Amino acid sequence: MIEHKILFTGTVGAGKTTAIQAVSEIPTVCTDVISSDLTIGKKMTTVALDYGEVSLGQSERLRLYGTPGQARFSFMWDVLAKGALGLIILVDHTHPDPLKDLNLYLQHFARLIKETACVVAISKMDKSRPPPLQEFIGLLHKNHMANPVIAADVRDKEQVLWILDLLLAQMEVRV
Amino acid sequence: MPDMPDKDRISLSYTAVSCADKEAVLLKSVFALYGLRGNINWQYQNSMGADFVIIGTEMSSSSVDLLLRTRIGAKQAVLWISDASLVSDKTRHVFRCKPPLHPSHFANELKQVELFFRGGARHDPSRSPSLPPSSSASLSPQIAALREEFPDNFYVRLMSWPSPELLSDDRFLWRLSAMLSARSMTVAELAERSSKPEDVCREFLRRLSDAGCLKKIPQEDHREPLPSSALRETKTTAEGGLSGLFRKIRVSLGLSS
Repeated sequence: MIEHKILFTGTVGAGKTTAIQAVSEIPTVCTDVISSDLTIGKKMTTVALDYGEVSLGQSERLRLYGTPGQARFSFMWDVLAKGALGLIILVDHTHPDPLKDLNLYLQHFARLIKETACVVAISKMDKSRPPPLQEFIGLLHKNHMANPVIAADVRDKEQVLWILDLLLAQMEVRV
Repeated sequence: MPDMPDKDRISLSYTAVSCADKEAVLLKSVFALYGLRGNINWQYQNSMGADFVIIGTEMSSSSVDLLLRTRIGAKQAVLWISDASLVSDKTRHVFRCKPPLHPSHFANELKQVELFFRGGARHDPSRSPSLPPSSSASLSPQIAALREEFPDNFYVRLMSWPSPELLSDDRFLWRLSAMLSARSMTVAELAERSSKPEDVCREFLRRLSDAGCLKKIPQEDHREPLPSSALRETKTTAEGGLSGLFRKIRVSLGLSS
């Protein structure tokens, strides 16, 4: 069986598990535990990885991995990023400093972003509060990146598919 | 979509040939809707001389090829509803929609057709047929200027993701931008990969350039980026290598190619 990988990363509560669940053909394997960290704002949090998959015929499959969101599990990020075809970064707009959050992932995954493909999806976007989408675009520009930046509701499968469509559009022109 | 002031609206004709009944009904409905809301006042014309010719699923590839070569002029736009390949006549502006025809897909293509016509390549009833695209003497000033601004020997690359206002809800523009964010391309390559006419791509490139999102790279300065080690090491059983793999992923996810 030949396996390929797309990685979902991003802030705690941004919806990585939900996004993978939306498109996975199998029930998603989650490593969520009850959180003891009161600052992250949710009861359960991922400590190792989320895993879903999509079959690509008899002999190949696409694995969808979600990293744990909290930076203290960042040792897992590099393990999961190895060999990935592309990266989806999910950022929770309701966090206190979503730009700082995004910058963390842009810096950490800079090489993967430069060499493969990446889409930045801003979840729980509230247009009435800052920062606007344009500031996220500006942050990528400062990092010499021009990847797609999109506001998305990852509970909606169609929107997750659209994110994957944009990711594939980048991959396709690299070969 | 807001109503357009009358002075900004242009009148164009369309015709539809070899369409199945369902396709014909759907086309009429979308044109009726656009006639009220769009930038163009679309009028049906029962003739192949219409500005916009829609070819339905009931015409074979070889007949379409013949039609393009013999009956369609360089200033007309064509939309072919088919997933078959075309022995391409690049002197014609051929848009594509895959069957079964879906209203939103057709509406998206109609926006591109509108962009094509508003770029200046209006139908001229006195046109001579079969003008090649390089024949700048026959081009409208707008199209000629676009070709001068984005010549064939330049590469273009996205330097910053465009604002949501610039992209609006047009998925074609999002995809085009995503492609250009990954690597630099010539207009011809962009047109081939996006299956859109070069002048439609050029019109969008001009908007990106005006917004300061685009970099033009002369051919002599262009360096093809090396594929990543992840891509180089990727093995697949898909026909066509990595391109085939990405097609497989699209099919499995239910995404259009």
